[in-house]
Parts: sequence; structure tokens; C-alpha cells
Amino acid sequence: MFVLKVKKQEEIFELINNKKTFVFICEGCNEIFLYREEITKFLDSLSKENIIDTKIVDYICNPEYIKNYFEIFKKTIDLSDIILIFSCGVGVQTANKISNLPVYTGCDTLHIPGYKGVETVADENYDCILCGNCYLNYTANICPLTSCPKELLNGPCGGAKNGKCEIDNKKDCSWEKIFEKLKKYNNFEKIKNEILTRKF
Amino acid sequence: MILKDIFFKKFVITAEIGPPKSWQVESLIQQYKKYLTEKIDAINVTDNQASVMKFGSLGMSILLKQNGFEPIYQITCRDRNRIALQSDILNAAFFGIQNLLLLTGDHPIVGDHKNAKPVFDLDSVSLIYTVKNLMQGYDLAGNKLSGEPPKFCIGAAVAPETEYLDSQIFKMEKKINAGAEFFQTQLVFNPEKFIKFINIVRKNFGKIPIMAGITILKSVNMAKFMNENIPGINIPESIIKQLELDKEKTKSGQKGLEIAANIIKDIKPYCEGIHIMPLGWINKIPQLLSLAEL
Repeated sequence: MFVLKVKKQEEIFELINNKKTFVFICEGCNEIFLYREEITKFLDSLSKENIIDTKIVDYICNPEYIKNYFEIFKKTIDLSDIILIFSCGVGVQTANKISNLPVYTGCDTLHIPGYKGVETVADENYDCILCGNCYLNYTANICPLTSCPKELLNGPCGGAKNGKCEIDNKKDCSWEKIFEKLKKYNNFEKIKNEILTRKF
Repeated sequence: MILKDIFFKKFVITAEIGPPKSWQVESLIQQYKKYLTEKIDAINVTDNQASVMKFGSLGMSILLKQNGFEPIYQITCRDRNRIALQSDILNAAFFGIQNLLLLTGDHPIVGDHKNAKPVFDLDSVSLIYTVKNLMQGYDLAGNKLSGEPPKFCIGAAVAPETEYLDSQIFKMEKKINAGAEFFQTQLVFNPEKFIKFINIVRKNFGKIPIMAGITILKSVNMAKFMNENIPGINIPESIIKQLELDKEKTKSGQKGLEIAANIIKDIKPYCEGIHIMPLGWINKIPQLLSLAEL
């Protein structure tokens, strides 16, 4: 069973902040436990003008699938300011890679007891450690818990050299990538104003 | 002495020592007394620097305090979770340690216990915030401390000559917002770049004390090694050429001392102090200070 939790409504409201929103709901995994009712209730509570389109899709964690979805739904995506995704952490990170619009997650991924399906279809470059307190909305959809060896939440360690991680010079520094992406969308406020600590 | 009392009143000079891989540390005190004279305002004690297991920074800071020195107790997030970190910081307060340098720390993989668990429960920013909370009488979980809150001066690190200055300034701002009261920089080798950095700092954050990192280069190989391996370090070709010119003068340390003294003279008007990282050449510190006219 793959268990997701929908983030608090006010948290998602703050992210949308009256922007035109395209919504993806991912129901790829057979064993997924996603609170569909909560999502529907939440989307219903938003003004119709805010939600440009909502699509229920399969496996947005698969790079080919998500690429296709962006092409198929191009018309309404182009009318939107942001993409809001209800999926696991891998799905959000995969979509973020190809999206030209800021991507936000509406879920916290809790756990996958006994579930291994994601490994067969998902982009192997991304991982989700099911921390249960998704930080992707702070970190431009690049997960520092899975891509930074020090799992830093509040900025780079300063150890990058030529864009590469000080621990593994074949890997990009995830915080420099986060920083570039935040710069692109001028989206520093959220992470600047909050001091993040892990909730174990 | 708490560092915040002397910033802006004098040019502050600190020096860094790395405890040895031994428990017999008392004999080092004689050496410190000889070379770290009254010109040195405080001594920075590294916390298992470069992830190599050594005598601890808390124990060494206490020993220094007991011998009349003013320690700056370095704490990294690599080896301890938030419970152990806060507990150690309360211990430090009891022993009269007032100056802290709070760092994320290196990853264990660069050190001598490569299979050690990297803790990083907190990072430099959240550790600064934690100490700020303790100073206001609360722990990180919001529980009240009994008795008086501890008093500290919170130091943090920044790399002014990094290729990623934007993200350094971003993190610096987070550290200031979290409670950092002074900054100690990575080694400075390019006064022009350093002054540019200072201008950005003044424009964005006003008068926050900055201590410039200084070392004495020992050889051409050391300079090249640092350029290739140590993040945020950028030794220019002109300095490497100076080291190549007279191998004997370089080997004796004379050239390294001259280079360091010139850097100090160039940057002195722009910062609140220097932090000397002698990397084994502690005996050359008095010479460096006199060459730099300090």
C-alpha cells in the first residue's frame, strides 16, 4: 500500500495564491492510497477561475508519460501560471524537470510498506524517502533529502566545485540546482523566511 | 570575554587550533602560551575538522578557558543530533564558554571514519536558530530552561571568494535571520574579490562583524592542492608565481608570511578582524602579526 496525505488546505491556498492552476492527480499505482475525496473537496472550494484544468493521469513519475501529458494538455497548460500535483514525491520531481511553469505538490508522501512498483516505471534519477513532510514546495521541487548527501534543508553547504557535489564529483550539487530554479521563478520568499528542521 | 563586546572597538584577531588525536593535550597549552600571545583575542577550536576523529572541541575549549585563553567553541552538525548538540551547549555555558562558531560540518566520507553515520539532524542555520532559542530561555522543542538563559555570541561561516556568491549571500541572510552575530570567512586570497563581497554585505546586512580568514601558504603544491580540493578557495596565479620564484624563501615560510601580511594590510580597512588558520604553523603567528603591523 502506497500512502499519501493531502497537505493542509491553507498551505495549498497560499501556494496557489489566486494563480491560474493546472491540476494533475496521479493514480498510476494500483495500490495507491490517495485521499481523492479530500482533493475533490479542496478543488471544489477554489474559485472556478483559479482552476484552468484538472487531469487524472497514470504514472507521472515516468519521464515519457509526463512528457506526453504536457503535450496532450498543452492548450490548457499554456493558459496556466502554475502546476499543482497530487502524487508522490517522485512524480512531482519528474514533472518539475520538464515543466516550464512552477510546480507545486499538494501531498506529503508517507510510506510504501511492501510496495516496489515505483522502481519499474519511475525516472531513476529521482527518489522519495517518504519523509511524510514534503519540502518540495520550498526547494523548487528538487528533493534535498534524496539528492544532497547532508540532507540540508536551509541552503547549500558551500562545498560545490564546478557545479558538482563535494562528496561525489559526478553528481550535480542539488542546492545549486535548487537555487537556479528558485532564481528562475524569483521564488525565494518561502524558503528565506522559514527555518526548516526535519520531523523524524 | 564575549566577542560582541569588542567588535567595532578594536580590530579583532583570532587564531584556530586543531586538537590532536590523543587525550594527552595538556602539553599543548605551553605551546599556545608561547605563540598565541595577548594580541590574539580568542582561539577557535575545531570540531573533528575534516571529519577526522580528534580530541573534542568542547574539552579543549574548557581547557583553554581554564588556562586564561578565550575559546571560540566550534560545533558542527555532523556527529550529534539536536538533543546532544543542545546538551553540549549547556555544558559549554557552565564552563564559561561564551563564543560559538556554528557550522554544518564536513561529510564523514572526507575523513578517517568513512563509514560513520552522517547525522546532520540540524544544519548551520537551524543550529544557529537553536542557540538563539536557548539564549532566550527555551530549547528547540519550546520547553523552558530552568534558571537564567545562557549568554553566547553566535558566529557563523561564509565563503566570500566562492564561484557561487549568490547562494552564499542567500544562506548568509538565513543565518543572520536565525541569529548569527558575526561571520568568519573561508580563506581570503583575493583582496579585490573580498572587498566586493564586503560591499554586498554592507548593502544587504549593514554592520555585521566580518572576520577574514588568513593562512600562511607553505608551498606551491599546497596552493595547488587547495585550489583543486577545498571548496570556496581561489588562490590566484600571481600568488602561485610568487611562491615559485624563490623555493627556499617559500620553504622557510618567509614568502607565505609576506603574502599573508600583504593580504591583511589590503583588507584591514574593510573588515572587523582576521581569523588566522595556521595549519600547523602556529609558531609563525607572532611573525605574521608583526609583518602585518598588528
